[in-house]
Amino acid sequence: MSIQFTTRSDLNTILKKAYNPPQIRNDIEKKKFHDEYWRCHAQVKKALEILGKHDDFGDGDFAMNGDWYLSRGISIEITSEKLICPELAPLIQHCLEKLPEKYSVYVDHALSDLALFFMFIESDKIQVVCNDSMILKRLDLANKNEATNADEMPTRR
Amino acid sequence: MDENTPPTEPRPTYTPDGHHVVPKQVQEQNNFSDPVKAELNENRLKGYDSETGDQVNHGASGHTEYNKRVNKETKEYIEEWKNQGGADPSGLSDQEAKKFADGLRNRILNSQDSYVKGFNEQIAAGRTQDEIKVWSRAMLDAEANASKMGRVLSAAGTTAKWVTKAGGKVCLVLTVATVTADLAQAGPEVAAKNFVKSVTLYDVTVEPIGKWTNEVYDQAQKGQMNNDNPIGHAKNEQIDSINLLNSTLNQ
Repeated sequence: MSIQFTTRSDLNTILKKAYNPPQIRNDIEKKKFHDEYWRCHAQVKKALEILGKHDDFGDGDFAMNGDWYLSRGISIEITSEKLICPELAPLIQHCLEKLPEKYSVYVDHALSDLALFFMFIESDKIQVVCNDSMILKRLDLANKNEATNADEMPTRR
Repeated sequence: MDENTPPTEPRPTYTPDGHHVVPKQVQEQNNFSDPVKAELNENRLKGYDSETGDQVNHGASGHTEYNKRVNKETKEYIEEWKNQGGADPSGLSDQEAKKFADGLRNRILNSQDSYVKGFNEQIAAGRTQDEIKVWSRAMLDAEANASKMGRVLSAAGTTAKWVTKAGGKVCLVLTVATVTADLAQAGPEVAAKNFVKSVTLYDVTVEPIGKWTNEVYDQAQKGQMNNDNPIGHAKNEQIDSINLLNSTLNQ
């Protein structure tokens, strides 16, 4: 597993672009992509349900994007401490390896007592923005970085 | 069809892409009819990067909070709709479905809830998931701090008044009834700090503003505050209060 510590600025550059976007020429192709996207989305969700409960209103352990774009990017918001665990990133990567197309998963959290962190996960690489060593330890990402470059992370209130 | 009427694109058989102002999950939870859903799905927000023009995926960041709040507003809207004689949205069709959906969508886009309104503005501005998350955290922090101040203001008959002093300095004066023990023993600053902490559990900084503070304090002690005083008590009112001057909620 390749882990790269990055900056928010670099992460934002990635997030502004569609990830592995489909080539859409007509409505039939759009519908085809719609179906592919939600099949993959469901597979990621099913995998994460091994770790916790999904709830769109924040009352479970995680939530996923309910909207879609012409991008193969999936998004997860962690909503309980349960998913801040060593299994999270490997499980997502394992799931991504099995998808028919190259997808990415973006992860952040909604836990007010926890410093913010961001992860951009691909099947062969994880990019992380986090300057809290305890969180990295809990995610089993500590001491695995290829390059450390923590930048202007917002501080806790 | 009239030749001047532009051809209308048929509605797709799937939920279209982009941000749904009334999220699909909210539509499902409130049992909206298919025509209502179709109307709500007709108009979505899409944000584009200002430099590249690319569409930006807003993802799940901050969305659970948005869903929760929009769901609450939706339930209020349904209640009002029904009170005005409207049918249950699970059975609406045609013009009624459009009317219901347009009203709801407008309400959410112009929400009085600054998180809901701001979230849609963030998406329309093409913010990334990371940027929305940081914005969301800042909004929730600001609300939490405001609610701390709210707890102070709602406690023990507190009144608040903004006062402009000479030199343009603006002070928030909080007058808190019935807190006398600290006032008598340690003065207004300690009393202020202890009071705010007792209500909010947070430490605060209280900055006295010199001579004026002392004058007000002396007046309070002697029960001589009057209508000429910036705090505005009635003349000879028996003062059983402390005056928190220029206090700032901190952590």
